[in-house]
Amino acid sequence: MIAIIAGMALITFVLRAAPLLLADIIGRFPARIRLLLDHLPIAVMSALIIPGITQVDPDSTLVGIVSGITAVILVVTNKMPLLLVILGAVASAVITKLCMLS
Amino acid sequence: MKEYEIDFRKGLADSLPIVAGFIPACFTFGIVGTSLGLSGMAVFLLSAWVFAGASQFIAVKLLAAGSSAPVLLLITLIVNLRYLFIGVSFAGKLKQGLSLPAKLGIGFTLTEEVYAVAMARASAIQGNEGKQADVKKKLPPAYLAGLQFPPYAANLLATGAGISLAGYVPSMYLPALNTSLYALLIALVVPQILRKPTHLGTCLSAAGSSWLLHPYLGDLTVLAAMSIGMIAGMFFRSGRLQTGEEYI
Repeated sequence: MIAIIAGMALITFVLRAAPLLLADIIGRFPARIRLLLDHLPIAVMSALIIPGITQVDPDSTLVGIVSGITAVILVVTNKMPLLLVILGAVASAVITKLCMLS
Repeated sequence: MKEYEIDFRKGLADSLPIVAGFIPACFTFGIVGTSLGLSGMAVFLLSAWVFAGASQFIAVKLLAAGSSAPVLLLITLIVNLRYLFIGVSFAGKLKQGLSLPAKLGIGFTLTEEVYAVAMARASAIQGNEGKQADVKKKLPPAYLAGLQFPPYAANLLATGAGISLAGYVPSMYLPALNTSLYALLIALVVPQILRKPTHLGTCLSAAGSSWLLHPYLGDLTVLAAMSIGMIAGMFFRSGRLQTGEEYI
């Protein structure tokens, strides 16, 4: 089992590190491909959030949805630090869970 | 204070939200892995060596179910293929001429969260320094050291805590705590949409296709949805391709 885990680790490491080692070649990619990659952060984060956030709690989709909406509201209405946004969102999720259990 | 020290401290400060997101997630991973009947050693090594969120949770399920090595390795390759794209995108924001150990260290701990925070910082640097020399726009290695080390350390500690405390913790609140990772992603995405409304097109395309494809593609969804989002993003801004403005 340790050998399998080591193999998984090696695959993941190669996927992550290889592009960094080839950075100089990547710098010479055509402008169109670099523009395409500029959209990657938003695209990958959006794909991770939906539908993941609705499945965090297998018993209830509401916990994740409340947390997500709280995060959006906190970000849009206040320029607060990331950490406070996260704490606020988690607090709202815990309160939602408490209300559902009681 | 020397410049690298300032950069390092900036990195540490930026890493706090990621640490806050990782602690409950890794703690949960320790508990889930152990409760599936895997040895503490195997669960810990998945965190320490693989260090790749979703694929760890998939791996403990498969290992506990007794899946064969080729299946596990193939799924790891497919699920983590997105890091190849992330790495290519990230490489463009790194300073040239970094040492090999520095590149390997940055690569080993390059998670989506680190990538997203670092890209936001890179665009802030570009915004502040305008048209100055190109080198100045890149992410300093000292900043990345400060940004990437604390989440990895938190990963080890929280996984260890989860393994040792499995069975003692009331688990019903863990899902609520785990919304932290999503709150972090939302807090990173929304400001970028507010700054450039065309980003909304990229966001909705990726999120929408992820939602629709998830029942069919399962673990492959993120890879497919992010590609769709990227390509859609190109269409939303194709009219202004000539201006050469940096996008994110």
